[in-house]
Amino acid sequence: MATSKQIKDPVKLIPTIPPSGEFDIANFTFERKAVERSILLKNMLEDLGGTNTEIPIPNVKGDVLLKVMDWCDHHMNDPPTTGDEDNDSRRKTTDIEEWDQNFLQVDQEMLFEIILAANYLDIKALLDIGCKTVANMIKGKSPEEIRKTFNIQNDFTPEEEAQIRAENEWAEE
Amino acid sequence: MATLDKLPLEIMLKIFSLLSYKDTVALSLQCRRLHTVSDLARRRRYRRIRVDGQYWPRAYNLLWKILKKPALGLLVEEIVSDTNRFLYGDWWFPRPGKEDEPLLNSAITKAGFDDLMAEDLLKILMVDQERVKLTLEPVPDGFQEALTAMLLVVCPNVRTLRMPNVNVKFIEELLKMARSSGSDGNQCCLQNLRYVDLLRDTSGVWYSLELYTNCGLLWDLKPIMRVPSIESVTVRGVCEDGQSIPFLAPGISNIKEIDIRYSSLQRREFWSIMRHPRGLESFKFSSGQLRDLTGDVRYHPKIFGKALLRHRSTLKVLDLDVDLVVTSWSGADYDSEDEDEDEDYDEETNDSEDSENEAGGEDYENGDDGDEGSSSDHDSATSEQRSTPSVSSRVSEDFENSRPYGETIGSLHDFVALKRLSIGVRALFGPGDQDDPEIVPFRLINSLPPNLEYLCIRGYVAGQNPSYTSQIEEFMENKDRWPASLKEVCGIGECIDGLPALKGPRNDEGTDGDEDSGDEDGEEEEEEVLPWEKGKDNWTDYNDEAPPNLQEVPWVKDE
Repeated sequence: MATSKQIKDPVKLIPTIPPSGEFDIANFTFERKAVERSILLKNMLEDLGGTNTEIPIPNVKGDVLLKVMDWCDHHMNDPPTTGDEDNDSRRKTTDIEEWDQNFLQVDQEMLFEIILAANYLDIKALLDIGCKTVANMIKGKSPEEIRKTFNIQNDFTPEEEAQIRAENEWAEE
Repeated sequence: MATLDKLPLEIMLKIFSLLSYKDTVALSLQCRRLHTVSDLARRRRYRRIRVDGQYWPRAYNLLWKILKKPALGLLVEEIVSDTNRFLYGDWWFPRPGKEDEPLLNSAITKAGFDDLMAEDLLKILMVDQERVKLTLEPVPDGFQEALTAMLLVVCPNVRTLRMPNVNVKFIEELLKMARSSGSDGNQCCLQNLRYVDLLRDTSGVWYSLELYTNCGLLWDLKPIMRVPSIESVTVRGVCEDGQSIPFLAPGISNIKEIDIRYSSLQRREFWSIMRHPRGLESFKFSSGQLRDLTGDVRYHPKIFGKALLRHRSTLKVLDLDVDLVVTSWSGADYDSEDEDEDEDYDEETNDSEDSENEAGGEDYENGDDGDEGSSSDHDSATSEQRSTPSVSSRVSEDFENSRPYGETIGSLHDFVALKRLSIGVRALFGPGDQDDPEIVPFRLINSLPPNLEYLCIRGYVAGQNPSYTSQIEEFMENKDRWPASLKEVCGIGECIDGLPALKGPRNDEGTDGDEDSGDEDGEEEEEEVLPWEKGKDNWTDYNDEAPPNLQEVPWVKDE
């Protein structure tokens, strides 16, 4: 946890929706470098100037924010991503580093919340591995297996479904 | 609660881009929203196909997929075949088997290739594994071109083609067939081709960043401009190779937009291109930014005025950036006087006409044995023929002085369709510096296109040149006499430059620094990107593409 370490350059993030259980602001104090993994927050910190180091975070639940900041903490010393690196990492789509894999071993709801938070906070690398994880959950599954895995409500009429199946019949060879 | 089907669209598309086609189909069966997203993702994925660099295996796989399921071919809208990017990647992937050959064969036959070409195509594309192992050549000669050609055959909705030379065997044949199709019910390919981007050929021995690339541009442009559906063509960084040029009959191409920049054309080539379209709507041309080893071609502004005259009722957009190479007729490159000049043109045109006639005749024969009954071909052939005896009359019509030009592009008052005009001050008012009615025979305020909406004058600095300044001041002081449609005027208060010259001395501030750092990184080739090539990284979707999954190759038998 971020709190267990000595924080050199602290930034406080105040979630508008506090986490379940007891809310301790100390838990929401992070290393500036980690916070800056989020392009949104990085820009905000720049705009606010050096003195103000308290940022309210709407749209992200406290629990999710803690989880996301966990990731940022672990990756705060990563070199900033460039376009090239991006392409390289795409070449091996299924490859996710082991720490990240373990990090994303969460229930589906949390996984999607992390993806949404990463999107909102503009943390590209986290968004990438989140999407990859979801893609890996889909890969090679039959339509029925996917429906079960993600618990998706079928809103097609039987005719529509039959038509889509017919259109795509060849892809399922 | 966040669930898969409720994620925002952009995230969904990101996830879809990581999946195989089969996976997207499985997802499309889940619910309406996922079906829509999947459709979108698929369109995006197959919208652009690249047949170069590391991307070619996917293109090769796709050809076979489409041969099996032609509907997939309908999704492809753009083909990029940059032959400057050599094919690379894993060569030892599974090859098609003999049992797949009939599929390819029937597609080739249906396209209408003659026997010899058909045999060639089949041989090249049915890559022989054993031969490859023996010769250690990953793919046979002409593979990239043959693959591009066959993709054009099986993807009838291709609107955009980007490649350096179309004047190559299979592609040229396809373009020729496209031109004569439709008449005999033979549904040909390329019926939806709208836009061709002639990429700069950088593979030549003499290629250099700041030199024009020598090419037989008109040989490439001719078949493109004759495709019935063609609308637009883009050319960058070339000069003509000074060899013979093909004959382009006047007024028969459907092309509407021509965009040739960072290029240098001889006058006769310029004339040929400009008279070929029926009605041009947009013309963008820049010259002088790169270096020509044999010396820059210089243009008299009158050339542009006269060449464009033919299109004055259709031309909507004109962007002329030629001030670096604009000259007055008394300059070194024009020894002849005013009166001589038209003759000079005539002579030159007649000269080229001779060689052109040969080329034209040859072309007619080709069209003839290709498809005799084709009405469109017939039409064009007769018009080409007809043009031969009346060369002189056509030329005099073309070169008639419909207004005094002096040293300028001439008054634009009768360019009734023109809405956007961007032009250098030297091309507009002539390179001279005297306020002499002989040299600038019009006042700008009286000479504007009547429906102009946007005017950008490049290179104007108030007070620097008395002639320019008096014209512009008069123009600015009489806003009540502007065309009512004129909303935006740029380049008066602050000077707007044309495209930067790239041929500058090596100690040019910016470039040198860049190159040095490039050397240190050992990546100077990556650094060598011309301005118009920067956009290539924005050929986006493709970068989001998952690598070709060899397990999806249709001829790989199920385990």
